[in-house]
Amino acid sequence: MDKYECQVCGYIYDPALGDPDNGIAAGTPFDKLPADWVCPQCGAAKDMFEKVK
Amino acid sequence: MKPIQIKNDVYWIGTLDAQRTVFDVIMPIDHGTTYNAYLVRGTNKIAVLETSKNLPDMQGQFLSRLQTLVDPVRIDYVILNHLEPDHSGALAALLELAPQARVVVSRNGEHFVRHLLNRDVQPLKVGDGDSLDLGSKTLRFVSAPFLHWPDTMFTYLAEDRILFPSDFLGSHYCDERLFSDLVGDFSHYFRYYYDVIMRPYKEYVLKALDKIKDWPLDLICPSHGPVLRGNLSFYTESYAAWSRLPAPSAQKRALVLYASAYGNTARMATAVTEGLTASGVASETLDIGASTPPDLLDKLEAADALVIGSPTFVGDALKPVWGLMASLATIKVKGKVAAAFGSYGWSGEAVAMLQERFRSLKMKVVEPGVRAILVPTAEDLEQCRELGRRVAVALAAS
Repeated sequence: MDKYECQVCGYIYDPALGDPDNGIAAGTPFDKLPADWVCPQCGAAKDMFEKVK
Repeated sequence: MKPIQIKNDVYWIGTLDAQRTVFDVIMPIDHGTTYNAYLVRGTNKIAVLETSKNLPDMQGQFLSRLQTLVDPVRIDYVILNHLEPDHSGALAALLELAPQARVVVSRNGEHFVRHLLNRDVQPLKVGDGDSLDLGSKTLRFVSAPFLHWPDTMFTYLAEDRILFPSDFLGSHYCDERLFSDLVGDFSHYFRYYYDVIMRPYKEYVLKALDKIKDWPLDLICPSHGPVLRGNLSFYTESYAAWSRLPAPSAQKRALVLYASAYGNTARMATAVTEGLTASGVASETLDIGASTPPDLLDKLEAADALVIGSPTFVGDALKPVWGLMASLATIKVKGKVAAAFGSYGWSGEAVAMLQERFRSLKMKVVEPGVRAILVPTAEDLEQCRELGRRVAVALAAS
């Protein structure tokens, strides 16, 4: 599953880890994250993330 | 408009803003400020660090000082340790005069420089381990995010042992004598700046201090206020001491804060505290309508639960309560337990509004809150005690 990087602060969303502190289970692919999910490090919106090549 | 020499081939080319009385909308200041910029001249290349604020007279000071030293067409690098417009505000004007110059920012800085200039800039992105060799002057970079934006970084001039930490260790203090050992006692301003700008990012402060702890330093050149010279450890150790997080406590702590016009919400606050205390939570009750204790931020930070009481005026919670709620963003409240209560006359919107604000700050809200019409009855007060007990249960589970 693809990792995605926040273009504002560099935080990497790794689907294998999810974001459990914010209710996202490990194994959740990026496109299944809720629309209102934000970067846990800086608060930037989902549309500020780009796929890590 | 004269530059000030800092060391051989290192100059201050900043801007003095002596008249300013409010900074960034939220910060009243009484000694003006400066937008510090610097020029480093190597044997082969020239670098400018920071620019000035995005106002014509501020830009003018910077460009004037710069042009005293060098023709802009000779500038190789414009380094922006931080892209906020008080430092990047003259970048566009500078690039008009120096189109050949390469803009240097942190990796996170690209987002900001792009949205400031609204054109496709191709900055040179640097981070830990990167350096630029100007010829006898080597600039090393340190990623130092959230001090106080995601883009922040520090630049270190190795041969002269000078750190350029951007806003970090800065002060809103304008004095044309520039050096900390010449300007008199500005310690109050140094602390004030930390409290407003850096305090929300304590763990990042400690990380950055750790990164630079072994670097020999002769001078620290921040982007606002005096250039720090002599006794540098006073400044870095102050930041370290202020950034220590409160010690975790085995016993949970709650802060009950309220405003009360006629004593009704105050009586509810007392009952909430009784419920908390009876459940083994260490609780402090504060009337924030009367005054704000000077250590309120420390108390908020140390508390595991915040229970806030407000009457309802004109369909809203009271202004000092909103003031308190506004200050919550300067500390880490995410995950703390929160609850609301209050007396009201006929509409009573305050409690629901406070709960909504708690939710948007990602606190763990204990609902429903408790409301009473005018003078709380014995039953209302029992519900308040019960709210205290419910908060204690939420604390035990968190």
